Amino acid sequence: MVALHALDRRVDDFDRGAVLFEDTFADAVDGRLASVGVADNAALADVGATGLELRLDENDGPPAERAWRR
Amino acid sequence: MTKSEITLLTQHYYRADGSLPTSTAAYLITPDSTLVNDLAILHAGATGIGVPYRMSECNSFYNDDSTGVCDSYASSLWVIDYLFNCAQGGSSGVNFHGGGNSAGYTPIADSSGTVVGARPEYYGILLFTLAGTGTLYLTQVSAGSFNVTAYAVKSSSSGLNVVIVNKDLAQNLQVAVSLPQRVSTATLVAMTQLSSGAMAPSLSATSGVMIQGATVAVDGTFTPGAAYTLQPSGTQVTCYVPALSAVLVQLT
Repeated sequence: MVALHALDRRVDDFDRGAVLFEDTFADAVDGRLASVGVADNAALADVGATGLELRLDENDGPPAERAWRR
Repeated sequence: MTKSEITLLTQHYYRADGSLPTSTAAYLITPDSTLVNDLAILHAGATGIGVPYRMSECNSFYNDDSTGVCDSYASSLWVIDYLFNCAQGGSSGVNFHGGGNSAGYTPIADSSGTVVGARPEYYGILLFTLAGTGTLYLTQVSAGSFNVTAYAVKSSSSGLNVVIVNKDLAQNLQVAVSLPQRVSTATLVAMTQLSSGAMAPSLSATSGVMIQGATVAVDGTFTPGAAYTLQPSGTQVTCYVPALSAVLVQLT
């Protein structure tokens, strides 16, 4: 599970007034072929239910990594 | 300290020392096999003692005071891969280090505690969140030597959100996405960058990043344009992924 908490993203309905992507880009984009396959199994079989919580630490100070090296 | 006293395993992560000449915007978006290996070690260690682990301080390049690297569009693309790597690696969360309004990394720029803007990195984080919650599914990318990554999140309502990140500097891609289920609807939202007067995205640009044509206002509001509609066929859908862009394909 990917559980996210940090952002109030205020996303509107993406579908409203949607247009065909091909109509917009097909003539303009000379795309080389590539493929993405999505397997029918979870990537985290040994992890079980978990979450990824995002937080921002805004302290305007140097990172610990920098402090260590000074 | 006994094992029972440990409740959380934490680790810090930065891609590299930003003062090194090799720490460029182009380098930032190259794959980081060390991260994947370290996450596996952390996951094994945490699992072994029955606690979660968290990337408790992280960002792109520490010691980077120059403009056009950590504060650039490269960070938008980098952070998507970073977050999905952390999620796939079983991390319980990440804490991004940041703050201030100088050059270098921070997702949100502020001046004495007052937010002054969303930096490029914020847009990558935002796109990641738009992929929603659910179960990560395995993906396989076939794109030759191009630097392309893809991730899939299956929601509890059985919808599937696929994120594709094309980090090639010039090559646009037409990507055929094969899915484990029949698809009836498909829409696409794109993260792109374009500076005023430019004809192509720039990895080192520090502004001009948009998601579906929209920028994030200082107060955090975000009103993206309507998603593009794709035409799925059975278990496949094809989409364009321009050079230096990321797309979110939402399937039902």
